[in-house]
Amino acid sequence: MRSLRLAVVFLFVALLVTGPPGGVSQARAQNPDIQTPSDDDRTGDTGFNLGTWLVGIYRDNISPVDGDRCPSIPSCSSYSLQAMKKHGFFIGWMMTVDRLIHEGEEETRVSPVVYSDGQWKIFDPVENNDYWWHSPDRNHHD
Amino acid sequence: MTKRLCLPALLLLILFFLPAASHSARITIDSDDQFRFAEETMEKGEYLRAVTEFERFIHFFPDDERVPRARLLIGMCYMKARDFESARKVFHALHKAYEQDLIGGKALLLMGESYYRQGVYKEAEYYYRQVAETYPQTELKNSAVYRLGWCRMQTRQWRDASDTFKDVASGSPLYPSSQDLAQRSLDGETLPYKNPVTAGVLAGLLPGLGHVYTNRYKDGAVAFLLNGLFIWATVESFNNDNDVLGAILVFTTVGWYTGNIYSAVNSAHKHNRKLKDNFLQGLPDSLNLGLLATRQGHLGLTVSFKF
Repeated sequence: MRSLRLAVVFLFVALLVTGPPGGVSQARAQNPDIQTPSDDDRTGDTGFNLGTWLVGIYRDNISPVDGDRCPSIPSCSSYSLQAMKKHGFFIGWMMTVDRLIHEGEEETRVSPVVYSDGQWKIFDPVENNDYWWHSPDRNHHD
Repeated sequence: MTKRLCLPALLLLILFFLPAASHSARITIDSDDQFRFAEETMEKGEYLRAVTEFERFIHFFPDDERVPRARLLIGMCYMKARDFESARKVFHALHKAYEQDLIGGKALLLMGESYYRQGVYKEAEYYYRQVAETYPQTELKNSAVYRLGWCRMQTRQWRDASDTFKDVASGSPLYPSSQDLAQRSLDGETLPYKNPVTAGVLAGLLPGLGHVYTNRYKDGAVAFLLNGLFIWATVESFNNDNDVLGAILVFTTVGWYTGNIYSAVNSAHKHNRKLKDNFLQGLPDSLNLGLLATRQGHLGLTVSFKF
């Protein structure tokens, strides 16, 4: 009985974080030209998912009160949304964790520091952390 | 009465014959003036304005022999402004229009250069190889081979890079530099790289250990503590029959754990990239791409850019 309950909870959480199958994502896969009003930072090619929703809540409600303490550019929440939009929930989540772990001063040894809004910040976009495995399609040979 | 009329009549006559003072000034700009002005604008670093001026030159003097050069310079301006896509469109059209001429070869070389500047070395290599094969009798070939060597250094193929630099012809102005680089590129093999696989395995065995391996001790401590806390909380939840909380925590913990592995691997790659970049910055890059193709088959020297 306990195993069954656990399985149901796991399934429920998995559905929440990965989003519903099909829907806009499936339609878009068949026709990439489809545009929807929800094409913003919070929803990428994976459609709705819990991760982007939670990050959105943080960014809109907690961060303005908590203050800007992220030493990097883009900010950690923006980075997370961009990573999830670019790579989907699971890899986006891993990259967010990576960012949260490495946002300290040790990162300045390997990433440039730029002046922005009156502060020196670490320039650490998504491309700085996926370049070794993700190469965009740039094949322009004739 | 006659005297009174004479004076105004005389004044009217003078006014009639004098050229109108308010007449707008007219100037004539010839093709030399326009081309020079466009070049000066480019030299000042106002690249997008220079594009407009070169386009004006092409519009008003379409039959001028410098039109292909103007088009090449437009592409160069886009490249300097880091608008690589626009630059490639210009170079592509120019190459198609003058495929058999040296300027077409230059356009192809610059196509590769645009990818090189963008850091897309695989694509850059493709175009440099095309130049070397299609224009074997020109200095363009040596420039392309030289850049191929640099591409291989950028991708840490140090032995291939060394061999490639040796292929630059002895009569080329790039020969001394290429011989030097053929030797010095081999030093790239001895840089103290970190193995990303080792970093990932260590992070999997003990969260934070992968970061320690890549000399990031604080990050390692953060990864260890966060993972430890989440694993402990998950175990405690199940031990206390809080299955729902436990299941949610499992997902969170898996995220922290896999993120820790990703972070360790990422750290190793960044460490290696930084090592390589520092090493390459200490090497001389002697390729000066002349912008003006000459009939002799050499790269022009009037205006040059160091890449």
